[in-house]
Amino acid sequence: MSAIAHSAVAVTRPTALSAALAQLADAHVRGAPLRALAGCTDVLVEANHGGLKHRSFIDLSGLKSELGGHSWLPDGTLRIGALCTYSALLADPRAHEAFPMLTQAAGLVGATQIQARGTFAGNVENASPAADAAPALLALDAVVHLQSASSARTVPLSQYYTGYRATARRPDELIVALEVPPAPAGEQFFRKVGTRAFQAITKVGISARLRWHEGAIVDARVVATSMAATICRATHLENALRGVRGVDGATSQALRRAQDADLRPIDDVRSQGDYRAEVFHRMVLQAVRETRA
Amino acid sequence: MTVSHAHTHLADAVPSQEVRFTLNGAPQKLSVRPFRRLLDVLRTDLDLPGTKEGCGEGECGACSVLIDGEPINACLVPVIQCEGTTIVTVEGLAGHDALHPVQQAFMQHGGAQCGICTPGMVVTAAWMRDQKLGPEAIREKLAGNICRCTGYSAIVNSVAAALGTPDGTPDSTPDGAAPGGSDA
Ligand SMILES: Cc1cc2nc3c(=O)[nH]c(=O)nc-3n(C[C@H](O)[C@H](O)[C@H](O)COP(=O)(O)OP(=O)(O)OC[C@H]3O[C@@H](n4cnc5c(N)ncnc54)[C@H](O)[C@@H]3O)c2cc1C
Ligand code: FES
Ligand code: FES
Repeated sequence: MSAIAHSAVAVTRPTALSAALAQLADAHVRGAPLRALAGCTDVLVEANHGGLKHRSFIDLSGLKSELGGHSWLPDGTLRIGALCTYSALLADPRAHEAFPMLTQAAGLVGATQIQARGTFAGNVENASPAADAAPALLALDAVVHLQSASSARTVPLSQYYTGYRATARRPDELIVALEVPPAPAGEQFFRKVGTRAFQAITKVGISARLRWHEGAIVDARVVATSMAATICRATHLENALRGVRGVDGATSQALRRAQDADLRPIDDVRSQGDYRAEVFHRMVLQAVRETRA
Repeated sequence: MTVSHAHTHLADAVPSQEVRFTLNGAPQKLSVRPFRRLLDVLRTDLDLPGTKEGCGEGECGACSVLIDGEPINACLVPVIQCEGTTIVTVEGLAGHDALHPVQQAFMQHGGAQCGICTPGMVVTAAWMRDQKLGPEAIREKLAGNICRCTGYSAIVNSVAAALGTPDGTPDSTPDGAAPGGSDA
């Protein structure tokens, strides 16, 4: 049996961020990087399937006082600690008012038990093309704060994914927080399509922000879920949305052409490419109608 | 059922570590391998088989326990993450001779058939009651608890009865969908 047994996995549990970063640096130098454990809703599924490649983990649960929870900066920026769970953010009414697309996404991750345990940072780092919170964060221009024993840096989420399930994080770095700059609530739109409302991985999803001025869209962010190898912005589509005043036949066709230039979804176990493209197109039209000022 | 944890090669095993938490009101101090699942530690080491394994991957909720007051899937928790927490399993919801109002309501409204999903349902419903959630929240908040037997109506009726009664006495009005034992 090649799978690593649960009893053969080593875990350290530092109780200070500085100690955690020192352990990561040390392991990195030794060529045996430690992998982080946050809510474990991705890692333990891998482990329970016998799919673990790592034997050495660093558990972050002792760092809740430094990395837990969320806070609001004076300009309205939301700072999400690396250990902030979905249920923790969902308990804050201000989050629903300021970032409805983010709370809608969070409220549709898994179900109650997953939301109580899963973290936004884990969702970002897991880098699934079918993730729900990461695309909402991307559409909101969120940034990732990374820290190592010797450095701290900030990477825009738009530059974080470097390939299928690959991120810009170095093995000696931890995500310490995500930050979301303020955005008007009225321009936010989130929709996921799965086999049911809860406990459903997204077959196709959209996270959009459409800014209107004097009856026309003046700025657009459109992030596609389960439409490519990573979550991604559809830039041709964003350009085509600028100037749109409503949905008529010609506009709809132009938007679909732009979408097809950005996104060529594939057939896989969860859905088919043609279905994904058609449903995504309809969700774009819905976003135009629903955000219209 | 996922049983990769059963293929333990002793030669590969890492040293045990000490983990302390409060379990059903009593302090626990264990020496355990850190990555073992809380579910296995409860059922095997601590002789608390009430918490069930349905899927082993976070989908079914049969393994739900309360950790620091929130319902969590014990199949997705490496035991080292329990350090310093307060855990309540289905065995700890009520006193020895008493039933929790949710358990009482499940009896009264026929909420259990084979019973595999029931501990998880009861734990999650007890949390809903703590949160003072109303019956309208049942289908959403219980969506992570899957049942293959009942078709859900009897479960929803049971939970609704338990939630509708803030004083702790389950609603005794029999409802058409459930047999409703009168011996509760
Ligand atoms: C039943 C079920 C349903 C689910 N449904 C959904 C769904 O609907 N939508 C969805 O998007 N996801 C879903 N998921 C996936 C998962 O719940 C989310 O991706 C969750 O946000 C992961 O967070 P976590 O804290 O549990 O991550 P973990 O499993 O702890 O970690 C995930 C990855 O991130 C790394 N990591 C975590 N924190 C850090 C950090 N601070 N610094 C560096 N690396 C870090 C870990 O090493 C690991 O590689 C589901 C999972 C299950 C089991
Ligand atoms: S056994 Fe844990 S969720 Fe199914
Ligand atoms: S009673 Fe059998 S699974 Fe629910």
